[in-house]
Amino acid sequence: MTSDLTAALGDFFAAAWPTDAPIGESGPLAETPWPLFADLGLHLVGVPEDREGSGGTFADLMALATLAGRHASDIPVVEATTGAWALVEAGLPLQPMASISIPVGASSLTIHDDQTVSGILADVPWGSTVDLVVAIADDGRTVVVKARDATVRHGVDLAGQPRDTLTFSQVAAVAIGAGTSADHVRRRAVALRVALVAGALQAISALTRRYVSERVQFGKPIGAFQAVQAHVVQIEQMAVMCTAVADRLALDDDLKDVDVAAAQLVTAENALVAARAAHQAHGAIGMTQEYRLQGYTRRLHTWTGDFGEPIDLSRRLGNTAAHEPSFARLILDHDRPELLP
Amino acid sequence: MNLVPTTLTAEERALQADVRAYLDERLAPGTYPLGLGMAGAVDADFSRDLGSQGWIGMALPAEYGGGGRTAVERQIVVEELLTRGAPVGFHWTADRQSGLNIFHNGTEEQRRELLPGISRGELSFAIGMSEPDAGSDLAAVRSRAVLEDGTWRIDGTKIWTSNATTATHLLCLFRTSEGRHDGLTQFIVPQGTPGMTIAPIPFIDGTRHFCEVSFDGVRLPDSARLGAVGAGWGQNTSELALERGGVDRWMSMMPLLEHWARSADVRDSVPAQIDLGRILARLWVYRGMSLSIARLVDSGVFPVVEAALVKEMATQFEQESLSLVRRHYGRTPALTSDDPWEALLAQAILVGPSWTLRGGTTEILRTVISKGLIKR
Ligand SMILES: Cc1cc2nc3c(=O)[nH]c(=O)nc-3n(C[C@H](O)[C@H](O)[C@H](O)COP(=O)(O)OP(=O)(O)OC[C@H]3O[C@@H](n4cnc5c(N)ncnc54)[C@H](O)[C@@H]3O)c2cc1C
Repeated sequence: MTSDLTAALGDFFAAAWPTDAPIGESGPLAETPWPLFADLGLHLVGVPEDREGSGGTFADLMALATLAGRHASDIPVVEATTGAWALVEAGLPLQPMASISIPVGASSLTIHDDQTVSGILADVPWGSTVDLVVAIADDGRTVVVKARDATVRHGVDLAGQPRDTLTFSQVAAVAIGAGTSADHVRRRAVALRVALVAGALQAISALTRRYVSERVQFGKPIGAFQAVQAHVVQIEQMAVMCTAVADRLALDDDLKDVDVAAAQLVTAENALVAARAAHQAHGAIGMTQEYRLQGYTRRLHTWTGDFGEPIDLSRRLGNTAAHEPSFARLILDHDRPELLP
Repeated sequence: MNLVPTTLTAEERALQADVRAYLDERLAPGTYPLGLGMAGAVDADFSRDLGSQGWIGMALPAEYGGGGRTAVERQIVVEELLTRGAPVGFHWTADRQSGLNIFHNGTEEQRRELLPGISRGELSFAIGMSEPDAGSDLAAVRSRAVLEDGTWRIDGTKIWTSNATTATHLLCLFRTSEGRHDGLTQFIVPQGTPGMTIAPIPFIDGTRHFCEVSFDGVRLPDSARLGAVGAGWGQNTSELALERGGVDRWMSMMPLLEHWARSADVRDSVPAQIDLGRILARLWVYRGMSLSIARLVDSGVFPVVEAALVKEMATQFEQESLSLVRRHYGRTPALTSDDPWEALLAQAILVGPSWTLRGGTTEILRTVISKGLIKR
């Protein structure tokens, strides 16, 4: 993966989201480090420069998301970069300085004959404080709307970050285009969230390793106990595994549905296992808002919770496998079948 | 810790296609005894046929009769064999670890004598490490080799030696002095050596590959010694690394899964599809990690900690996927069933607990990983 980008941005992330400070509740976009992030053009990584983006490959974007996860960044990295990408894929002009989000919840949007739109966009991260929201309408077209044209129901995710539900009734769309699909947007957002989780698990592993070497009980560091070491090992396994999955998805921006579904499933399971083990290894201090662990484990819930039920994804993968000539080849081969319904 | 993702090259995929085509014919369904991964049946004819294809000892240099190929290429061949539950028992250990050990640590004479036969699939190795009082604590090995008048005299007992009766050679770890780690030396003991007695220990499923090997005044020439006197621990550790890192650590269930996935039991059952999908997702990830490890091996690094990290998870997942498959069966499968798949499932249920013991237990692997993490 593009470790160059990670190295170059290390200082910015460390300054914006210092790793020695508690992870606080989040606020409106203007009160987060977003303005600095956008000044660097990071919100447009993965969008070609000749389309007003910041350039960079999909692998660069995955590296950026991993870094954001490692720092528990409280900005809509995935939503902004996916929204900008979808908009450009749909042939629409980008307004480089605008902040963008996308709905991650069940949404429905109708485009009327007069090009106005009505409907509900559910769970839009920072929905009320971004400039624009990009969504796929019921007819499959890509729509850009102004967030301030919506009636807002404010909400927060489990990590204390805004995720608002926006209702539009017959508002003028900023732009309407075609060229991408809800499915493509979902795949890209899920892949980027896998990268966020990988970054967060790396941070949780480092945090836990440090803590168990410092905390003394029964006259020795708790990391000297095999039972505690087992937690440390398990967390590192989950981190290595999720990173391997994220890096693998980053190899090719033509994301395959079967791969994304497998990655999403494994990541969601691993995140929970790691969160449980990390809290167990930390004891009570990990349950407080002053200690950084909660800032990561709460984000893991947010970053693995959307875009479909794991049980249904498992069923679809199983159904796909049942209709293939060989189960083993689904694991061993490069060619991927379509994910069956 | 980081595993760099990788994909197969066009040449590697061509090899995969060749292996598939060959095995589809050589191992037509119903013509061979089904096995669970590396515990596949012992079939010397099959091993010789595979050797004549150039698919054993692939990673050994061509000048010693090997394939001069890569760990990734070996993995490709092994994946196809284990998917089919092939009878790999005769050549398995020699191909996976003994050949490489002899190449790295053997004398020129040992290489010339043994490596071509390994690559032809004619030689079969068993590993004599464990003893009654030396299991996880392998450095507690007590069987001795004492140099008397230029020959080594061996006394002691090895236990849990898989396939010792059918092996042509045993590669054993003996104590040559008191130093806990630097007092151990490896030896190659040919089958039939006077004073060596091999007694099968019936395994949980009634099979007889597990053995006890006693050495009573056995005499070995110094040319049977592998590597320097006192270097056995290090050689054995490198071997264990090869033993832990491979796809055999998550593929024991593969023939059963391959069969189950295509059956009406899954096609007609949503609950079964849910479990199969979960297994698919995780195996896809383990496969990617194994391939990354094989590429590391080819780059000259041996990722000991990474191999332990994957084995610890993957072997437990083998057991979990067995439980998932089993809960759709509806009755207790019989070992004696006429249906070979039912018998194989029954066998898996019986032998499954050994998957997290052999090659280093889950608990010991955790210690290896934990120490590795502290060092980094
Ligand atoms: C199918 C199979 C094939 C095998 N084939 C071979 C072979 O070909 N050649 C060969 O030499 N050996 C072979 N073995 C032996 C194998 O290497 C040992 O079984 C293994 O190393 C464990 O040793 P043990 O059985 O003596 O268990 P023990 O070491 O007695 O362990 C018993 C339990 O105690 C735990 N334990 C022990 N020490 C610690 C510790 N320090 N911390 C935490 N927990 C600990 C273990 O994890 C385990 O749960 C085979 C074993 C099996 C099951």
